[in-house]
Amino acid sequence: MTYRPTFRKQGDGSRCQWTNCGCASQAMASQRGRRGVDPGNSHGWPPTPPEVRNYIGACGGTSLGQGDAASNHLYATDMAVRYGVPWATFQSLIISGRGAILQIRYSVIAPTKYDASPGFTGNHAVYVNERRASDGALLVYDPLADHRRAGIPQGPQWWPASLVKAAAYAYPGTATGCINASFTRDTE
Amino acid sequence: MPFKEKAPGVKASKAEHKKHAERFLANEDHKDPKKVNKPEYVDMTDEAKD
Repeated sequence: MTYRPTFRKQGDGSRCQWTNCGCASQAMASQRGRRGVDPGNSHGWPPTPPEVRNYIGACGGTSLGQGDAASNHLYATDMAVRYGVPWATFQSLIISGRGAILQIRYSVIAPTKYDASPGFTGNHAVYVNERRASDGALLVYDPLADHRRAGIPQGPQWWPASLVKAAAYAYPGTATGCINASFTRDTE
Repeated sequence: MPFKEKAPGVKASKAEHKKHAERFLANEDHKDPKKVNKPEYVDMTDEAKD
């Protein structure tokens, strides 16, 4: 069975919480990359969004590369940051045994039952852990899905692949038919 | 050159997917957004709403 990291919400009351989607996604991806094993260094374990944020620094949006740098420094696990990834190749990497931080445009999620931030339509990062063979759905860890109010989803959700694809395609400036993501090492 | 190899079907063996993944990850062009994305692409998330 695919290793599943602990869900981390970004709205945890910590510094920069509403710009910590990338930090929370990175925390989950780093835990997956190490299959939950503490690297035994001087940093905290398991990974948390505030620790990733503190490494990155000032509040504001984050890039895939910043998350990768934090993961290497704090948790001794490398990410493969790739741009313009064809959708079929993205799915192939997930099936092969990797998790991924995926850049999406939240305006595509907003009208659906998976919306975890009413009114938000901007650039967002989620962590994708695995694909379900029976229907092709993807297990998405949206850092906003903390059920802080009625109607907001709680924790990892199986999103239809078509929805994940549409949201990733809609990220501004992405090559046609492609997505941008940061992949964990192969843990299977 | 951007990666052109067709991905295995979703029902292909995990071994085939692993081989495809390794070949893709070795492609240098996909490490640079300027080589594969549109000029307006910005690698940066936004602030969500409570």
